[in-house]
Amino acid sequence: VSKAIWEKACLALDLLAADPRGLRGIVVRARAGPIRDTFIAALSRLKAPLIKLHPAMSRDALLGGVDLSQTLSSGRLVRAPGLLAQSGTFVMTMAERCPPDIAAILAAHLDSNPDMTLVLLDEGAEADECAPNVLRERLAFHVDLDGIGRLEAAPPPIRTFSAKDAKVDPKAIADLTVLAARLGIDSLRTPTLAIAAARAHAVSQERGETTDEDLAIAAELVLAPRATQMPDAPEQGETPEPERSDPQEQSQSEGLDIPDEMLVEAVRAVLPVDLMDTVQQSASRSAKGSGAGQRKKGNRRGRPLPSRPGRLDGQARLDLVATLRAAAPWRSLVQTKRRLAGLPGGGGTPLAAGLKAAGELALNAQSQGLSPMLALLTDGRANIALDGSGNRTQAGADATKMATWLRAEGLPAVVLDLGTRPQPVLAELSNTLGGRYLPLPRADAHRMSEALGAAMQDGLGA
Amino acid sequence: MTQAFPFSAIVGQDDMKLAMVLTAVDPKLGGVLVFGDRGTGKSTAVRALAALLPEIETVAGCPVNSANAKDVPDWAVLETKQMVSRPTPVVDLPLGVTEDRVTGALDIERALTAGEKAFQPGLLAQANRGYLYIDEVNLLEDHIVDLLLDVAQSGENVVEREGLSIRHPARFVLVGSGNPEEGELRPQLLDRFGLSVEVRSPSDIEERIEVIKRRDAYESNPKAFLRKWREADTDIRDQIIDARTALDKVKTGKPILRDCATLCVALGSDGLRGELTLLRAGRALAAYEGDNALGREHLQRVAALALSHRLRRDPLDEAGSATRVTRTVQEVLG
Repeated sequence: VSKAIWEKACLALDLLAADPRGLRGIVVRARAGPIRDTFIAALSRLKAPLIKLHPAMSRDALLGGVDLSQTLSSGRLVRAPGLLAQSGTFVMTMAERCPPDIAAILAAHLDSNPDMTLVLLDEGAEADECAPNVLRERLAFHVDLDGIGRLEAAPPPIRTFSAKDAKVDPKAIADLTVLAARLGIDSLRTPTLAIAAARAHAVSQERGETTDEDLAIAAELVLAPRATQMPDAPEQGETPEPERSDPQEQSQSEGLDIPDEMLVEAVRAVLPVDLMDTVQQSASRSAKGSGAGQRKKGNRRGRPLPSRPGRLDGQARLDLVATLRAAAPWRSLVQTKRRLAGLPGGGGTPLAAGLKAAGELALNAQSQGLSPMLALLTDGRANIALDGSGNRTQAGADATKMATWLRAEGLPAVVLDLGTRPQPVLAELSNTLGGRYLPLPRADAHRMSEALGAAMQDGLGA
Repeated sequence: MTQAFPFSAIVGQDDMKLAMVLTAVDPKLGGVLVFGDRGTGKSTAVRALAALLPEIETVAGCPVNSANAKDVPDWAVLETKQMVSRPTPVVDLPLGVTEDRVTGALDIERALTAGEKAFQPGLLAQANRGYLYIDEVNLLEDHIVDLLLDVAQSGENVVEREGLSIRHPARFVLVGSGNPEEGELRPQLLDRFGLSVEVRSPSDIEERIEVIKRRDAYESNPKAFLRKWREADTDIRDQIIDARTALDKVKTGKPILRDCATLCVALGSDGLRGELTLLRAGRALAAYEGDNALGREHLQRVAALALSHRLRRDPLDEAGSATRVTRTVQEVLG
């Protein structure tokens, strides 16, 4: 297996060297080690020079800016050109740490500059720790070298092709596009990259036209790593068209829905068996997008950093208020206790209304950069519906609806059951919420707070 | 920089194309927000529109692209007052841009060499009479977005910094795009964009194939591809130019005003900006299609563009807000 992975990675590199304009680049996912070193050494076949980028680079370093010391000493404005002004192959190390603004600059540069080739070295350890999607989707190849054992790695042979173009027939374009859709790949950049890969492979085989083999290679190298569903799963987002009177058109498009089985098999062979698990995981609440927006807003989270030497570049600001707050205690436990004691208790259980209010408060907090978590203290027996009526059935349905909404919003929740006997209805509620169920039959304030603290660590840390 | 993909060759995404054309007809509409999946042609459409728009006449070398000599700001030192025509400016606003780069700031070079206090215009000056494009607008620093929306609304950039006190015209169409997965936009900001479009990857296989085929044709032989679509692009350009002159002549009857208001009340959109934008967008559409009066059918087509981002979130409604607008439009306007 590892030999096959390695050969494919080397093939991807060869194709990229043959058509850097069409394929744009490669994402190499590997921990630092001899195998990665061997692969990086092989990058020398790409267009020289190799220009190193680092995620912590400032915008000025990339795009150029005023050279302050030169300007001051010479008395006239001296600009330093940025790294992106050079032409060559850009290699970004530790690409999984690339911040969104640097990624956006690079993406814009890729779009406007057909000669730019980008290699991302991604050392991410977790599944959702990876190079920014905005860059990944623009680069044709995604190779993962982590599955390779140490011994099998040998330097890839260097091959050169006599550069010429290969024709791709419309059927091949349609096949790759359909296959991409069947694999659940939404972006329309991907089929274009796959076509370029097929073309480059045909060129590498000294062919003037692409064959099935080229398409299979393209599907394996470009489409398979991005697949989000097995090809035989029903298509996502496919809506049955209301009425199609033209039988010919129907049969035609039905024919299109099944690209060459050979292509499907080529992809299926390389898809990991646990694809569905990984996809489901990444779609779960912990990974809602790349989370960049949430991180960016999080100026209220954590302790502000002390001042550091450097230039204020519009991204870093010192949070004075937070600094002062962090220095002085300002929350009063007694005050909170008094407020809680003042809350009215007893009466019916407007569970749906409670969940709604909690959800709104949590979303509001989230938009301010906090990481809210819902803790539910209830008997779970809803008897007041959302519209205020005392209809038990309606109340239950409303509560379930609200819980489903909270789950869809991705709000972590924990349901505390303080009854002497565990209530199945509460376990069910926490299930609907996708949260944790904590039966605490003999709880006092102290133990409850402990349990809740532990649950929060788990829920938010994950 | 290569030549842009032709606007008319963009497959599908009709809402996005319509929204962009409307802002070209009536720049006062107040910008477009395009939110949606990656690889759906958001950037392509903006660049394509820019390439399609008619050239503008400006004073040569004027930092704010003034339309005639008397509008040139006094801080700009020009050697000639000759008129030249140039393509409609489209200015990219990169993420992480600093405020001084956006608004303009003290000209360091002149301050150092000549000891003069001079103004170095920023991106807002460059974008005057054109487009300002922000990709990933939801990742932009809030204070920059505030500033941009403020200027976009008032049409004037006021700079009070480093001892400078400068104002210059900055009338531009703001186009923001982004991917909601990366983070939401504050509702206050949402509301300030005139139109909003949600784009999705086409689910129709035929449409997807057509997109890829055209892209491939464009990349293999850009010249031939551009030649093929030039005529269609020119048609759209002519239609936009005609619509700009026809815009003032579009009649708006009282019943239509009532329709606008009823619709916004039914949808519960906050404030009156919804009605105004709906009205303007409807008029721009009428002008673009050569109709001399604003009718219900115009409102029906622009309602989702003008209103879908002004609704309050309804946790119980799983359908998107665009669907809610369409539904209400059907109920109210029949």
